[in-house]
Amino acid sequence: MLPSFRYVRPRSVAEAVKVLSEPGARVHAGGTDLLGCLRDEVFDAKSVVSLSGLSDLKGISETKDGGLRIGALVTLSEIAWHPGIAKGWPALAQGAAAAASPQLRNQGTLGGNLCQRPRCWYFRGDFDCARKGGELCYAVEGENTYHAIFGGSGCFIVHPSDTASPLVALQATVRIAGPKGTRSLPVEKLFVLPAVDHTRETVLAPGEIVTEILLPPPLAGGKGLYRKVRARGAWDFALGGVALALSVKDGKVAAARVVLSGVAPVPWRVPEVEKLLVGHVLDAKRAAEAAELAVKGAEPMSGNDYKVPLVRGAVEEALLSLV
Amino acid sequence: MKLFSDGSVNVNTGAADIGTGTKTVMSQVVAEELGVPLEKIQIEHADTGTTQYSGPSGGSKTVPSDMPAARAAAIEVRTKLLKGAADEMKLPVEELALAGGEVVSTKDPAKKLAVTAVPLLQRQQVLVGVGTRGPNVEGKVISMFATHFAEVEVNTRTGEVTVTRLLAAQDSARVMNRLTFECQVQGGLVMGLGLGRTEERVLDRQTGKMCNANWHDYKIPTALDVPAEQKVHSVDLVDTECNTVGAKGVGEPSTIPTAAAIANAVHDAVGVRVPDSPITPPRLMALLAARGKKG
Ligand SMILES: Cc1cc2nc3c(=O)[nH]c(=O)nc-3n(C[C@H](O)[C@H](O)[C@H](O)COP(=O)(O)OP(=O)(O)OC[C@H]3O[C@@H](n4cnc5c(N)ncnc54)[C@H](O)[C@@H]3O)c2cc1C
Ligand code: SF4
Repeated sequence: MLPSFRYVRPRSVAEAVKVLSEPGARVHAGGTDLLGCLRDEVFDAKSVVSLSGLSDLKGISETKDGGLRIGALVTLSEIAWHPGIAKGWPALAQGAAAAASPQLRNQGTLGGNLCQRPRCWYFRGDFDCARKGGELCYAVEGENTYHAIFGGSGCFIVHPSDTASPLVALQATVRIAGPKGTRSLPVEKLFVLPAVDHTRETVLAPGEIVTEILLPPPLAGGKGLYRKVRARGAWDFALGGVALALSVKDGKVAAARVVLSGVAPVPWRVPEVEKLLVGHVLDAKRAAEAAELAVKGAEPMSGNDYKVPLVRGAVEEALLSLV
Repeated sequence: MKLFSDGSVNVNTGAADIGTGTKTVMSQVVAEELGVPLEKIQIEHADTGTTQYSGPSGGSKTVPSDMPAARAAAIEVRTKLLKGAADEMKLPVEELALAGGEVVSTKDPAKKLAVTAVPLLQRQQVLVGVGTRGPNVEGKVISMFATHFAEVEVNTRTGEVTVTRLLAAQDSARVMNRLTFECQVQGGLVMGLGLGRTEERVLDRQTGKMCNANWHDYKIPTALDVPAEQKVHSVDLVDTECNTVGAKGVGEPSTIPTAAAIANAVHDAVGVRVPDSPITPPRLMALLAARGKKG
């Protein structure tokens, strides 16, 4: 049941930060994730603070350096349909288009997509698991088909976002406003591994909100994509996936970022694979080697070893499609 | 069943219409028997407080069980009506037929009487008939038959399965209504596709609680999972012995073979037998990888 809470709709970022610094305050952007969590009693709220009155957090605009600024309240649909993003940063457009369902993409925001809570069914269900402050991770001995094969310890969620891996691959920066002012971080540094703290997914402190995401200009000779594998055609989180951002010069890979999704509690960058690609021609043999390397060191649980060949296959297919 | 003095009909039946077209088909049966237009028939149904007994909606048996009862009730009303008309027209009852809201002599079509003008009906204001469905013909087994064909594409790198075409061929004996028949089988195919490809109840082995008791984690197929080409073919066999409407039922056979057809198509495509449903990327990928290891 939905708890009773105070609803606040601040008119400025400063005011939002102030009310969000109070205990039990929750950010409401599109609400597609927040309301589900409240209804399912995953967590409680004393006040729900809507960001919808903050015009500073809206809109997509070009930056002086040829990059892009995307407000935290921009919807996934806006990103998926934006011609400039599809052309300059295709991995992000494809990630946004691959998320959830059309209705959810119309309502869900980029900021909310990055800050959404995990989808582990024990976390969402009637289980007092470690991430909710309990003692046990039920996934270890339980139903872990959809859980992590990398980066788990104490908790084995996979990060649910389809935009996070593309943003990490594209070296995006996230701007944050909070009680102590504003700060910027690479999106890569926004997320928290369970070994550091298994009760939260982002480094955001109380009162802090994401205000915008900044994309650097597209690389010369840039190519990219997001490939998501899922169990049904739409409205389904990733079983595994990969975001690629490469640049090719004189037939050889000049720069590469390879970030897996659906396999770890955070977007999972594989620097060894990036190293293997840079300086070489991308051909079938290298793609196969890169795919093999991408799953090296994976630690499957009792019910998800399928993810190793699945991700290997997705990475190989994705790389080959850029050849 | 009641025939009123304005020529309209009310049918009171326990049979439910859970979107399957029961009311449509029952109106057709009554219209055929009483010669009244469909729009004059009202079906009052499935209310335990006010309607007659019927079995539950299941076993693909609403049409073969409830339609003969409706027909029997209509025959009773018809018999009373024709008797009343025969008295008025001074003709033998065997000579009379019902069509277009009129009682007509089969020997001399000029001799006719509007149903609403039959004095018996005018006097009583209503004619009532009651119909029941008796047992099947002794020694005869009545079964529907269906076969499904599936065409799939399998991504052997990821275990993703796309069902590209489905075809259903079904013997329901007499098809009472082409549209409701086709819709029922189309729906059955999608339901079978859910079993074959996406739907699964997951119980936590530690607590017995259901992990996926919501519409997101329990995955019914979306429009993107249903093939663009999904065809339904009726075999149209005649069975005059099965019951008085000649129809054997539609619902369940339209959903039983689908998952097996998909599994067989996957086997045909990649040579792997998937013994469990649904065939998801996790399940298929695990089998494909295990085969890869064996060489
Ligand atoms: C059925 C379903 C299926 C889905 N499938 C997918 C999928 O396949 N892939 C995918 O990527 N996503 C998926 N999602 C997630 C969906 O994309 C997110 O719900 C959406 O992007 C969140 O956006 P929102 O604006 O509605 O967030 P909200 O619900 O408003 O917020 C989500 C969370 O983030 C916090 N938050 C929101 N904005 C900010 C901000 N600016 N700063 C700080 N914190 C903030 C909120 O407090 C809340 O905890 C799915 C969601 C549902 C309900
Ligand atoms: S994986 Fe994390 S969220 Fe899921 S049961 Fe374990 S501790 Fe809880």
